[in-house]
Amino acid sequence: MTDNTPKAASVNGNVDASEIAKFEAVAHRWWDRQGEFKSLHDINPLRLNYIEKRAALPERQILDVGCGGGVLSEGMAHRGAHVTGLDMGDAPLQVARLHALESELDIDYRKITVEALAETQSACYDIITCLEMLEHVPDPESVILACKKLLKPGGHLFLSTINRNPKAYLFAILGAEYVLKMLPRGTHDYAKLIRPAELARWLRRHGLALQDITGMAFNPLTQQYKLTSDTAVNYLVHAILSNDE
Amino acid sequence: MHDHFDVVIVGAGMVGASLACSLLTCMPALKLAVVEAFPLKTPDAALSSYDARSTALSWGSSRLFEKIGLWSSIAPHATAINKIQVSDQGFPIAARLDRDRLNLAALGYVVENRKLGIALLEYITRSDQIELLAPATVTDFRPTRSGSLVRLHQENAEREISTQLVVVADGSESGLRQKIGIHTDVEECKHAALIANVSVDRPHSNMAFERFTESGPIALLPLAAYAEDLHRYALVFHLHRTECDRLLKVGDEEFISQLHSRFGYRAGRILKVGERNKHELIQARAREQIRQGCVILGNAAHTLHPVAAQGFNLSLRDARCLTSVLFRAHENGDDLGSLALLDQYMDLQRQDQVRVHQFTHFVLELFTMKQLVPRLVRQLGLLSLDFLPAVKSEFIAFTAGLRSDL
Repeated sequence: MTDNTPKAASVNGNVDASEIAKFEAVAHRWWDRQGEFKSLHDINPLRLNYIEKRAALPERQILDVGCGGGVLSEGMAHRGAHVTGLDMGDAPLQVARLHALESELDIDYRKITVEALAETQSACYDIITCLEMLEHVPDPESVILACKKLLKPGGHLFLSTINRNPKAYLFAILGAEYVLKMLPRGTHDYAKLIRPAELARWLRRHGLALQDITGMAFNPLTQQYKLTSDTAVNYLVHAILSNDE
Repeated sequence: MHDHFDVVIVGAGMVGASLACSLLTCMPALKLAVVEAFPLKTPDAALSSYDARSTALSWGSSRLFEKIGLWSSIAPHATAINKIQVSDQGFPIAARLDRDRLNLAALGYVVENRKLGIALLEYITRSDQIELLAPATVTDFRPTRSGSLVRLHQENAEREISTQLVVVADGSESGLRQKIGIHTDVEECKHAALIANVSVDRPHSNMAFERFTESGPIALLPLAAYAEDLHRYALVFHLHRTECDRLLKVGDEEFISQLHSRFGYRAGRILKVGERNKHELIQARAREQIRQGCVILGNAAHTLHPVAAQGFNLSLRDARCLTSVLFRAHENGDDLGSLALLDQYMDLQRQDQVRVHQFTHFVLELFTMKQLVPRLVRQLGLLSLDFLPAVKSEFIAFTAGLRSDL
């Protein structure tokens, strides 16, 4: 097991302060649908439907890791789920709490890493979502290990991130940050992007059975997002924790 | 225990009520609830007014009402549109769209909203399968493991009902849509529509007019006679907001002369103008139309600019398509609210919705062009409308709602 133990598994260590600072600075505009987070709002119904088609949400216990301002958490709560949202940024969490009040939703937002939470609880969530976050942490595998500990047997894990290849660099970094200016510059660091094969290897190593990988594509002409079989840039992953884990 | 309904429709407007009738015709055993915020007393059919507002139904919509079994009670109050004259101010040639080209009984019909409402409401109240909850408002909607719980406020009491599917059809300002966190993209138009009924000195001969002017398009739709006002039209006058406000205030004589100066005398001399109202124009689209156990329908899903008279007709096709998708699931005993099922509905109607949006947008652009070059394009468009049968058939097919007739 020693070889496989993630390198930064210390409970509060798996955080990149500069990444947190990026999101602190723009947190107040998290719910501005025309601002920096426009694309997040635009893809939200798409990824929520992806999740709900694979796992029922009503009255389920759900953990949203890296919840930010709560766009996904609120979407799941609106669909009847009991949501706990985790983030390490104070400002995004404050925005998330205020917005949930406004939306009359009961969501438990907590400032704690998923690794630290896994030290205190185990096997208590039906679904864990960790979308658009893995590419912002120093050790993504440690996040997956913690999620596995927190999932109930048979529970669902949903991940999304950005592929690492020239096309992803062209579309997700040059295209989205520099040409179309859909995202603030520096949102993504090429070296931290994750290939589906790497993600699949980590899942397998921790007893999570890969169910599906689906790409998400943006058409700049129609300004529409859609799900696609092309996983070269953005992609979503669904895995299930086997019952005997 | 809660009362359980197979489907709960929120909003008993024309779209919600039409869906209820459509579902019931197709699946007589279905148990439905229709929730309406306003008190619904069956309106007195005898009570009528010169100023009653109307809706243009496409030929396709009249066929859908026929299938639902409602057309026989609507037809006596419907005025057929057999021809449409399309013209441009400052351009001598007008195009004519004619029902004969398509071998249809009519291109469409104009029906008073009230008469349509009465026909729908009578059908609903006659049925034992539909419970009409009015006035009642939805205070909470909660998805559960076995469906959804809908909390209602009715006559100072709270009531909870359960259902497989909630249809949100409570209009463009839908409170329930907002409550469940569905965002809407709204596009405000620079124009407003001035709506009024007018009388002229000669029979309308079932002809409708659409005229592009400097200030915006003007439409006249033929209406049934009202008392001694035999030759009546519904006027839809698109104007800049400020101009609209001005024309709301001027006297009748001044208004008629302003109208004549833009519209000419093609429909005859205007003798009388009724009450004038302003209608704010917006185009809006909900970001989501389906969720597990939930569908957004009608103006709550998409509010269209009335310039191409497509909004209600599109919603009626949505309602019919939803009915047929639910019918198949009902036959198989499947969950009526499953996301996979509602996805089928969306896949079937998406293209229709996009096409209608594009068509409306295109007509709007065409109608509000001011510069010389676009005007020439528009006039060429008019010419081609008259001389190129293919273009014309396409235009008529759209206007008559034949594009995606079920």
